[in-house]
Amino acid sequence: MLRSAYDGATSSTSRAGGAGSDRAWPGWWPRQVLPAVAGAYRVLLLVVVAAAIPILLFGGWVTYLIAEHQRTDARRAASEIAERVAERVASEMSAQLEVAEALAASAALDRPDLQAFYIEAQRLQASRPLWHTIQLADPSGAQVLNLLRPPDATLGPTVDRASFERVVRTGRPAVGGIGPVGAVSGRRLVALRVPVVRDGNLRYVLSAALAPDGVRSILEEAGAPEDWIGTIVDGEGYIVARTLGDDADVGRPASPALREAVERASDGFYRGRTLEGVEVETVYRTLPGTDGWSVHFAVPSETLNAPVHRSVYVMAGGGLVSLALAAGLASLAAREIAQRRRDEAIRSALALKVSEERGAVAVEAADLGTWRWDVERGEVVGSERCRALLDLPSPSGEEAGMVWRSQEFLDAVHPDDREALVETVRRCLREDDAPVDVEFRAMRRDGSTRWLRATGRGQRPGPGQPESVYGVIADVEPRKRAEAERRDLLRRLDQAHEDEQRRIARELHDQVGQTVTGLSLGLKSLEQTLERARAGHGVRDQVRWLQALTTGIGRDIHRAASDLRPSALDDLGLHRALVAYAASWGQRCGVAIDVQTLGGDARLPAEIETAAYRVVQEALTNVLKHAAARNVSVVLERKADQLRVIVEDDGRGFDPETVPQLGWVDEDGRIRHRIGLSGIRERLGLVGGTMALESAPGAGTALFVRIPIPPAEPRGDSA
Amino acid sequence: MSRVRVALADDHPVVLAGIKALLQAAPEVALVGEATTGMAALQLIVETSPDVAVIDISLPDLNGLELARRLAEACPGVRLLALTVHEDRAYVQPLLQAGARGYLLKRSAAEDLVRAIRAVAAGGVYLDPAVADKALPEPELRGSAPPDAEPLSQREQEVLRLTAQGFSNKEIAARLDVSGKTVETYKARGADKVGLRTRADIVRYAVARGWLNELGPP
Repeated sequence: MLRSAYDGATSSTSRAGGAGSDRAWPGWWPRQVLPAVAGAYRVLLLVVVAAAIPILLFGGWVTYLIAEHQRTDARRAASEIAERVAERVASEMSAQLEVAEALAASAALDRPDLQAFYIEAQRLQASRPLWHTIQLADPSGAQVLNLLRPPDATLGPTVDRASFERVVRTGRPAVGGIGPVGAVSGRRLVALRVPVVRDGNLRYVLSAALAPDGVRSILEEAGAPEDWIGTIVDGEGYIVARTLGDDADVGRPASPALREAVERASDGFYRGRTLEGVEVETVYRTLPGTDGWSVHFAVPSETLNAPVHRSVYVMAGGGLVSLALAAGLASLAAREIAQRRRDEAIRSALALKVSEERGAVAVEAADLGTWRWDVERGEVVGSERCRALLDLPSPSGEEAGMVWRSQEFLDAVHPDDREALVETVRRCLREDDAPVDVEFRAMRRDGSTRWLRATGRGQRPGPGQPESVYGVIADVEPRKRAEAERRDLLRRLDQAHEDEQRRIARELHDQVGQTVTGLSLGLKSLEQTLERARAGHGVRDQVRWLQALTTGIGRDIHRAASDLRPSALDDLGLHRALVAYAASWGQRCGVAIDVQTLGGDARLPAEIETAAYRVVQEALTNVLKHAAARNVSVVLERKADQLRVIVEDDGRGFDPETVPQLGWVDEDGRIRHRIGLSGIRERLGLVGGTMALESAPGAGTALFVRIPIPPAEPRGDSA
Repeated sequence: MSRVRVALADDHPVVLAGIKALLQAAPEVALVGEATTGMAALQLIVETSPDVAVIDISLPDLNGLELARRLAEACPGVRLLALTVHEDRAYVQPLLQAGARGYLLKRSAAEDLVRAIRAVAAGGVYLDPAVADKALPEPELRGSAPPDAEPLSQREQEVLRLTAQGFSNKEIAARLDVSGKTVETYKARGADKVGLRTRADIVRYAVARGWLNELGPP
């Protein structure tokens, strides 16, 4: 599994390095710089693209605003031109009407002298190029005079009855519409009619027939752009003049949109189609004093809206480009992120690899084997070193790792240690913070055993993570051997120490003590001899003093010997020696002590008796030092396979939670070390014994000691 | 008044000589023989049948206790005065139980040997003043419940029994599935009811009740 992770990391590293840098950059750039430079360029590109999007959108918006403004300007210009044309046409008409009125006031009509008037009219017409003709009709509508005909010619009725009737009815001048093709003129003409009133009676109606060309010229001179269409329409809705098209249009009815607009308001704006079907937007004005004539300027929607359309295209284009840029940006950003992720992954893979390599090196250097116990599958995966340490069979399969069934693994463990190992692993999985740390013996196939130490911790089951325990396995055989040797040495040292003490004690008792006894006896004899010889008091006192001295020496020798090694322990056994020691201790220390023995007082191996005796000695010393006890109980219990010793006092006790077992806190709060306890532990270790301490503040302290008794036959010699 | 016949056994020549000199100086004592080993002493005593045998209990070949036992068996009439360097009270009781009638420390011998021989010969028991208190029998069995004592509850009895069997409070708590504090309470109450103060008392009480019989023979 680890191997494959390495491979993945390595290959991805080489891929990334090769694709990005080697080809794209000059070879002399340090490889480490390349990713940084490339990254900087990528970021710059991102910034440019990100900045371009709002600029484009803003540009589009400004273009649109400008276009909108242009359109409004165009409309206003059209409106102004229409106004101007309207004014000019109106003033022109008004001027023509004034001329016509002046003619109507001619004196020639007073009598009336038609002949004279004809001549006068002819003269006037000559000065008025727009005036196609002048006609005079009587109130019934019959033409009396027409310049297009000789003065005495017979004339028909006047055309354009509507305006004529209006003049007859109102007695005021009127502007006619574009009339039908006149019978006399053969053209469409516009009639300006003026009443000829004499003595308050309407005698005639004077009509000046205007060719629409004049109106058209006004329209054309108004200065409108070429593609604009100017139209003048009479009150009836017929076209009087038009900048587009030919004369055939004159007299045709205007478009319905135009008529509707005129009917709706005297001036304004409307959309519609021209006669040619062109979409236009039109501004119009109604002319004053022309009986409903109106001027229209139509701007083709195409022209008017072109800039707006252009701006819309620009905006749309900008939007599209922005969209494309945004997409590009997104993709760049995504690539950037992906690149970073990849870099990160490569970095962490490298770091992992380095760390794993270091770990592997450390594991290898420490001569450790690795193991992982997959509890769910019942498998143990281990390293080659693990296999070698446990002398496990080489796995037959072709799997990369060494995998064994749990049972195979356990078979390689010494039967006595299996339970402890399994229990430790179980506890590790059961409890959260219970690391595995267990020493066990491996059963090698050649029959030898080897001490190993397995440490590790549990892994909670998770996605893809089976419930397992993993760790390292170490060879502790040398340490174990050293420990055993050390223990053996210590035991021998202790034994030698005891032997030496015993020897010195015996020497003191048996040699020096006896000699002192002899000395004291000799002094007694001397005293008796001196008595018999009636020696002086001085000499006898001196002998008594020597006797007292000798007795003192004897006592000292005995105490020294007892302290070194109580001969009772050798002569009488643990129980009696202990009872005697306890009694004298109690007497000496003023503490009531009670020794109870259970299970008989048969002799035990000297080593165990000595250990037990010394342990009790140490324990009592501790009681004296720390406990301030009034009563002490010593219970010796001899069982088939072990000796149990309990030393319990009713002293002040301590709290094992806060005070380590090898120390205690005195009244001043200082922690004192219970050297006695560590001594006890050490001594017990030599005979394979264990100790436990139970205490509570105010409830005394109890020391529980267990010493295994080897199954060998107990010492046969008796006291 | 007949002289007291005394046999002497000590492996240490200086002491032997000193004692011999001492005894010879005493008119009321007649030394019948001396030995330097246990077996020789035994033989001497059997042969001479002295009134008093003054014997060092640390003879090299025969342990003092064993010698006393054998002597009591072979010549019950001979009174044994143990002469020893051991001030350990551990020795006193067993020796007296084995049949010795006197216990004299060697360092007191110069002053007290003759007095001790006289006392033993007169049928008394002589104990060296230095060990006299050590020879007293062990204290009476405590823990006999006062007559009006409340009977122990089952739990109290159980806790006392397990305590006597050498279990710690923690172990008892685990066995009975109660807390350590509860065990302490039961123990204190139970011990109080039957007038026990210490663990040793409890053990003794348990032995007297036969609670520990299931422990089996030693």
